[in-house]
Amino acid sequence: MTPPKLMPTLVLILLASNFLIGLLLTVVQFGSSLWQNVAYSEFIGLSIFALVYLVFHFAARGSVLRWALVPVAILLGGTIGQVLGNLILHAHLGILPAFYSKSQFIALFFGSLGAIAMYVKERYWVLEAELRSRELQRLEAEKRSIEAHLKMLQAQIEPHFLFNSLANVAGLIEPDPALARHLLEDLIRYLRASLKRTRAEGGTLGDELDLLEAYLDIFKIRLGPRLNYSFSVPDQLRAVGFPPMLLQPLVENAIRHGIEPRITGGRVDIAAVRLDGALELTVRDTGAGFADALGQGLGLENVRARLAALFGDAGSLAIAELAEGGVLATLRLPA
Amino acid sequence: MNAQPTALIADDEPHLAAHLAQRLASLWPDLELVASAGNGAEALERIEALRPDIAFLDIRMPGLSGLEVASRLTAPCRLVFVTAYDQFAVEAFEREAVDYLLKPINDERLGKTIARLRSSLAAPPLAPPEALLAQLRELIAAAPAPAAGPLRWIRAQVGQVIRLVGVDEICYFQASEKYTTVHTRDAELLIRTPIKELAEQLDPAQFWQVHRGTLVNVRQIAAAKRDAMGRLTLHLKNRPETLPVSRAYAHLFHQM
Repeated sequence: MTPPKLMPTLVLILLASNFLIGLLLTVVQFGSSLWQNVAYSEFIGLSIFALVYLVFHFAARGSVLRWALVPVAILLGGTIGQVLGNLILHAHLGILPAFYSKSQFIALFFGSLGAIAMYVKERYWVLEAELRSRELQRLEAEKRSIEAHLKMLQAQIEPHFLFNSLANVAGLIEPDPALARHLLEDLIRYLRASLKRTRAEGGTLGDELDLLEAYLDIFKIRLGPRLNYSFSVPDQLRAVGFPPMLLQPLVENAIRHGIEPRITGGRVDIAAVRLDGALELTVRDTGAGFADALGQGLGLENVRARLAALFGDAGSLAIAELAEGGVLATLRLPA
Repeated sequence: MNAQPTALIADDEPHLAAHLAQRLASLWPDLELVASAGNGAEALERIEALRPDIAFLDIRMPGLSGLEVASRLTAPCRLVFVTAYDQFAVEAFEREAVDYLLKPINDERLGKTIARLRSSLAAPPLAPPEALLAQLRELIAAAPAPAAGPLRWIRAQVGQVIRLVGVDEICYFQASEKYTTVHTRDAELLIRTPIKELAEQLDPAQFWQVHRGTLVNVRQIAAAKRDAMGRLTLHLKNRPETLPVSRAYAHLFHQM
């Protein structure tokens, strides 16, 4: 990265510093008059700055090249500044040997101070840029989390799901009151679990599975032989902490884009295993695949964003369309 | 009216179809239910074959939606759409005075629909109204709402499986002779889409073309470094390799 832009304030500070150096030299009775000292200081200071700035610009931060070139730039700048001063103040092209070595020593001293100041300033600038980008990332993650939260609220009272389920309850009351009651209980279990999951970030994998069992049971009653499903989760994994809005969207996709659009329906199989210290969850369906669903946004970006916000690089989501038909979604998070 | 009126019910959820049939039997005993269909294609085929007077069509069905069935229909048939929640369709039905039922179905509303159907059955048989069909085609066209936004997913074949890769996961695309290589943190996938086409489809704010054959995810760039010769090289967050930036694209990395 290159140092910050050449800003007017920076130039003013430079001119003022050069003036102060000239003043200081006069106070310690170096050189001749005040104005000559100040003029030389300005010429030398500006030349050194210009060369060091170029070095900072073209040699990477922390590179050997930069460390090697900065002293050269200071000494060269010192010489150029003196030659310029001699030319302009005395119409004399060349160096005045009487002052040359002393001036170079002074130039090296103040030039080094200046270069250190530039280095500090650049470092501060880089850190600040990093800080800003991190803050931006944090805000983005926060925004995504709120969006996901809203989406979750909307998804769980998705009107098609709610009204179709209620219509089934209404339709079953007379012909099959026991099934109507079963369906209503599933719906209540689902809504209660959803509300609980929506209000707290905590909760366990068991909570999420309770919710999904109710959800799939509702669809099993509604779709009849068009849907079969299974859960394969070891009991000890049910106690593992598990944030909401990660697994449910995958199951919802399997139903909405996999099973429902397919005339013959299919299976949804959910499994959880612990693999090398990670929790791996899979949702596999034998449905229509996602060819037609891609354009509609699968809600997967939200899952991914939440994974990133919660677990950083340790969480991942892989989606694959299987050769035998259907989709396999694999969710991996640290556990 | 000399013959008993006939009807067909199309709904992919069997309990809902049975419930509607049961309510119709109770409120309109004269109506003969000639068929039930579990998907759109079956409904279309049955209506054409059996020519019922009335068809109750669920809007969301596998195969063909209720609206698609209506727009493909050639047999004259009075249509009643059934939906749990389709705000826009319902608004259009209201405007066009097309009959519809909301699930769960209630007797009072169904009674009104039956009264309307009875009076329309007394009139001579009707041809499918062109205006309605045009309206339905429009509705169907509006329904899938193709996302016009930038590409969010890349589909890549890996052996027998097609992987769906979110664009956020991708570090960069690299063109090779026939294919484009998709580099993610831990995988390299081959796709057939050329870089030029990808550049047009992806979000230009997220993917920058930094070289004729390289398209990089801006969020995956750790640093852009300039060497003594002024050449720019990109260092990535999740990949060890560096990417050269050609002069034509160097302006992308000028100081803000």
